Amino acid sequence: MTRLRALVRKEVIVLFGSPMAWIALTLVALVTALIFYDHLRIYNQILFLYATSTMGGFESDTVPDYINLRDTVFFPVMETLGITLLGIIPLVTMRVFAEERARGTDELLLTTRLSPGAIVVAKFAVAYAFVTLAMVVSFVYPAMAVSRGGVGVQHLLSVFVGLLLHALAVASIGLVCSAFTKSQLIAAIAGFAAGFVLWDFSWAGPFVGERLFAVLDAISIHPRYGAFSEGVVRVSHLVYFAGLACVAAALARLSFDWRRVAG
Amino acid sequence: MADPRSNRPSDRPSEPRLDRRWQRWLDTPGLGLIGALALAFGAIPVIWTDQLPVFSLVNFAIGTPILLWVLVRGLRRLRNASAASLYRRTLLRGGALVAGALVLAVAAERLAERSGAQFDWSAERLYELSPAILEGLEAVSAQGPIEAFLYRDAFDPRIRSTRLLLGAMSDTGHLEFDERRLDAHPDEEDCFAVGSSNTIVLTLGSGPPCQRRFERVDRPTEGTLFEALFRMRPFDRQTVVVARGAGEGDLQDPGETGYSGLGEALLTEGYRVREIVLAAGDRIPEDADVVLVLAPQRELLPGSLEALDAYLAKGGRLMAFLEPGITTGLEELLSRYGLTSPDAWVVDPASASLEGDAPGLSPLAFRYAARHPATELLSGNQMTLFRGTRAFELRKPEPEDDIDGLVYSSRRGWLADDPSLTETRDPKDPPSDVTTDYQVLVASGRYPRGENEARIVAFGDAHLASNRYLRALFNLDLVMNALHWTAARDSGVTIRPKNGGVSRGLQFPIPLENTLTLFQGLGLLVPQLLLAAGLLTWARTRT
Repeated sequence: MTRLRALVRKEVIVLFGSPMAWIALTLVALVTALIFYDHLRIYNQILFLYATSTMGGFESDTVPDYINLRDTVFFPVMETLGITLLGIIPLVTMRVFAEERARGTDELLLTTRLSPGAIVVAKFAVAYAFVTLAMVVSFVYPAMAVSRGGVGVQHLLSVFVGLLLHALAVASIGLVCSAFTKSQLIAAIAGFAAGFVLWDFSWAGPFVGERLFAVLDAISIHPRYGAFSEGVVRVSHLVYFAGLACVAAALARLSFDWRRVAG
Repeated sequence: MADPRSNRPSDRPSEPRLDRRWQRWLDTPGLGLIGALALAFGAIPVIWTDQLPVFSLVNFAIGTPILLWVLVRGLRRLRNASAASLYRRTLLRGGALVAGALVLAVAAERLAERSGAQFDWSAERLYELSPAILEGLEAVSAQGPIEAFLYRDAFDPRIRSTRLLLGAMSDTGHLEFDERRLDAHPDEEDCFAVGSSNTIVLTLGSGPPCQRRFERVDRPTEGTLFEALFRMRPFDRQTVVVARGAGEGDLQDPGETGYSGLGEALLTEGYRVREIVLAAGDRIPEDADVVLVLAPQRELLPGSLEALDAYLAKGGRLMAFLEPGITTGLEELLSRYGLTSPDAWVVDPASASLEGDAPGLSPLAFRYAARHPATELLSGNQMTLFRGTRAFELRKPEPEDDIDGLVYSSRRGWLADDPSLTETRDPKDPPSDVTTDYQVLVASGRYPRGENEARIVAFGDAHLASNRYLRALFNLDLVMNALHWTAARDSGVTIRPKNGGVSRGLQFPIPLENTLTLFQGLGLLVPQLLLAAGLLTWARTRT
């Protein structure tokens, strides 16, 4: 346990000792704030345009149903952020395994009494904690803005849970890619590519049969992620993201084992 | 013997070097990634254009063999390696771990999906099914299996919410649902007349889909699905007779002050509607289950009142809407049945001004008779809106009669003979000679007469049933539940889904100034602090 704690401590120090982590945190927070503010501004403008006395005001039902926080703010913000996170998170996870491999320090790790499983768990835990921190930091402003408006706080929580799980899923994919290569660049690109492909299989709809499409749809991230923006937290979706993390950890461990025997 | 310095193609010493270089290049893991990238980039135009352009075809043609090659090379290396058994053991153990995790994840996800457990955190609680839908599903599924087909286009963003709604309905166990790609089943689409994506077809019974009874829902919301289910429910249609001839409300009028919404609700919930002109001497038909008198604007002729009285005396059922400031003679008839309504406006200080009215004249009611079948489902946070209403004083005509107030104003309600009184007077400060109390806004009575039982429900206001206000708050539920009770169809009493999807709660403006201040205060401050921390870290590592 002490060794595991020491490894976690080392990972945290290495992570936050690098400016890259801070830049990634800044980027996530800034991009979230900008995207959210922009959508909120547009929502307010449209709402006030419809609510002016010349349009009849709020009471006369002239504001169309689709102008609302869910459709005009939460949905588009989540869509844009979802795609943005596909690009940013692999930049954070790319070094986790690949750097150790490139420097050869992974062999040192393997000489400790820690099992490959424990090493993988420690690295995943630190990466997850960082991604969670990034999401929390980036959500301070949207949460304050919406809660001061007095509406949809629970809905916002659902949006946050969705974004957090999506970010953790992208981190899991990025970590697997980092585990299988010693090039950080390849890890980042592969993390982005794999995340992008897994993101949504709607495009395959016209080319594949209905059954195959149902399978593709079932493994893609977007349909589940989208439910959170609707304000629905389904237990099966939580299990999907947890399962994705478990499979990713198993793959990373396989890579570690392979490295131990293949050198 | 060949010259070693020769550059001819047949130069043998150069061949192994070239071969080794190729070998190294072909063994690099980056090659696999190049193949994956080719596939990914080939997919991009397909995603964007919904077509398969040459660019994508070329990328797929390059990416697929490269990935296959990398796979084959990897397997061959594994087979030929000197420590093959160790490799195999590691690979098998790791592979088993990955496969185990995958199987467990899929099994757990499928189990969770089957359980249907979910939390609806949407502000308008869109995916918590209303009692009406649940009852409708139960009643229809008792006739046979219900299957819902969702016809969808792959890129239709509306599918997400429709799928969640159908998922919630499917979780009740009364309905199976299946998604179908638009144009994939042309025969079915023809027989169901499906024309666009995001269309649901509810079918009842087994056998080929086209031979089942079906209802098509083109714009699925909980409300439209409820209406479709209601059309599939088995019930004997009852007859609502609507009295005309004294300026009563028109069930055909689609204007804001008309009552076409109420007319549609009657048809949807299984009533036949028939109009009679009492003033012209029309008799109330024998098969009338309820007579609806909707806010007459003139005095009813004595003959009309006699016809209504005779109908009630035989155990008839009457639902009457009155209006303050208009005397029609109906008040006297109701008074004989214990529902006396003085010609006065209810002033409820708990209600604010609405659309320019003086404050207090549009009561927002939230007190209901908890034990009456018509209102027992309405709770204190399910409000109903009245626009200028009379009150009722209740008195039993006969000991065996049963008279109830269904809806009340707040405790501080009082009656004003003249509505303009409230323009100059604070509703909280009534004249000293009036008493404040809960005012009865809707009253009901049951009158056993021999073998028959007459029923009356009287509303002090008709505006709440007009097109403008019928779908506001819980007005529709109050009006329709009262009608079901009057018609002795208590099974129809329910709380209906709120149609239209989005509540006004989500259209609340978030003040832009606040937002801007917050954006500058938090939206920019947080990244700035993070960047400063990053710079400090960088400076520390350099020193």
